[in-house]
Amino acid sequence: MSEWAFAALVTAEDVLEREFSERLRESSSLAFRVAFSVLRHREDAEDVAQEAFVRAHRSIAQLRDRERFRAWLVRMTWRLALDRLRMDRRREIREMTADPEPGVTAEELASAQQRARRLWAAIDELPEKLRMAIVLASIEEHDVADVGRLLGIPEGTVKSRLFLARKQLAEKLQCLAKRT
Amino acid sequence: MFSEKDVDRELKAALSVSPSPDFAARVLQRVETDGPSRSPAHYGWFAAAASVIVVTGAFYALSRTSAVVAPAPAQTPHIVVRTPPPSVAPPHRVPAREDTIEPRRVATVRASRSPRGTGQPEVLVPRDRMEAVRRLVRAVNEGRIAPPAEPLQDLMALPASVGVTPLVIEPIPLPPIDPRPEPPAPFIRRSK
Repeated sequence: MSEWAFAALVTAEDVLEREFSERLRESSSLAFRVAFSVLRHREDAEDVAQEAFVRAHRSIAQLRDRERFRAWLVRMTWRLALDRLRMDRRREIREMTADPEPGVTAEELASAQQRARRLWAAIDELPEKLRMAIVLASIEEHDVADVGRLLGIPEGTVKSRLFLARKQLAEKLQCLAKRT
Repeated sequence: MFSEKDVDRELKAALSVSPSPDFAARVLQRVETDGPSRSPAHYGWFAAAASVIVVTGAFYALSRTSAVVAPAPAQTPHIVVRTPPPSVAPPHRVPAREDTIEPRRVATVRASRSPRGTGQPEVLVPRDRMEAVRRLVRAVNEGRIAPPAEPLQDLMALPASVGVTPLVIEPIPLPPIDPRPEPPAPFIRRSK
C-alpha cells in the first residue's frame, strides 16, 4: 500500500471516528431514554444504550447520515431493551421515578412516585406501536415529523398513533386514579 | 380528569432522565475493547470457505454412490465371490402368476465392493448358480482345480474361424410354354 493510500485510509477512519463521537454526544440521551422507557432501571438502561452504540460503531460506515443513525439507534435500543426485559423478568425492583429535582419535599416525592407508577402501568398496557410513538414524542421535544423519521412511518400514521395513545393513556390513568 | 396535556406533561416528567456523565466515555471504552469491526470481506471469505466445504462433501458423496459395478481387470487369476450373510439375503421368491407380460427378473447377488488397491474384481452371479460358483471358487483356492491359463473370452467375441457354406446357383425348373393361341369366345347377338 502506498503512503498516499495509507494516509487516505487513515484519514477516512479518522473521519468516521469523529462522526461517531459527534453522534454519540448528540444521541446519548435519546438512546438512554428509549432504553429507560422500556426497562425503568438506570443501570440497565445505560448498559443497553452502550450496547446499541457499540453496534452502531460497527456499522458506522453505513450510518453516516444523521437521521439514519438516530432512527437506527432508536430501533436497536428499543429491541435490545425488550430483549433485556424478557431475559430479566425476575427482577421486580424497578426505578419508577425520574431524577428528583433539588428542593423537593418528601410528600412531593412520594406523590411523584405514585404518579409515575400509575403512568408506567398505563404505558405498559399500550400496544407496542402506540407505546413507541408516545415515548418518542415525549423525548427531546420531538415533533410529529421527527417521530415519523425515527420510526420510518408517515406523519399521518404518527398522528393517529399519538392520538390513540394519548386517549388510551388518559382513560387508563383515570381508571387507575379512581381505584386508588 | 386527565387530559392529553396532562398525559404529555406526566410523560415528559417521567422521561426527563439523563445518562451518567461518564456515559460517553464508557461507550468509547467499550468500543475500543470491542475491537475492529468485521468487514464484509471477512464474511465473503467465510462464505467462500463454506461453499468449498459443501461442494467437496457433495462430490465425495456422489463418488461413493456412483460406482455400482467396477470393471474387471485384464488379469484375473484369482476369482473372489463374496456373498452376503443368510440373514441379509432375501429368499428367492417364485412369482405367483407366470403369465405376466413382464420378463422374469433374474435374481443376482452382487459381490461386495473390493477394497481399493487389491485388484479383485466384482462379479455378478445369478442366485441359482451361486452355490456352484462358490464351490468352484473354493476348489480353485484350495488347489483342487487348476485355474484356466487364459482369461475367459468375452461371449460376444468373434470366433477365430467362421465356416461359410459355399453358394450353389441352379436354374429354376419351369413347365414348357404352349405356342398355340386360345380359341375365340362365341359371339352372341342380342334379339330386339
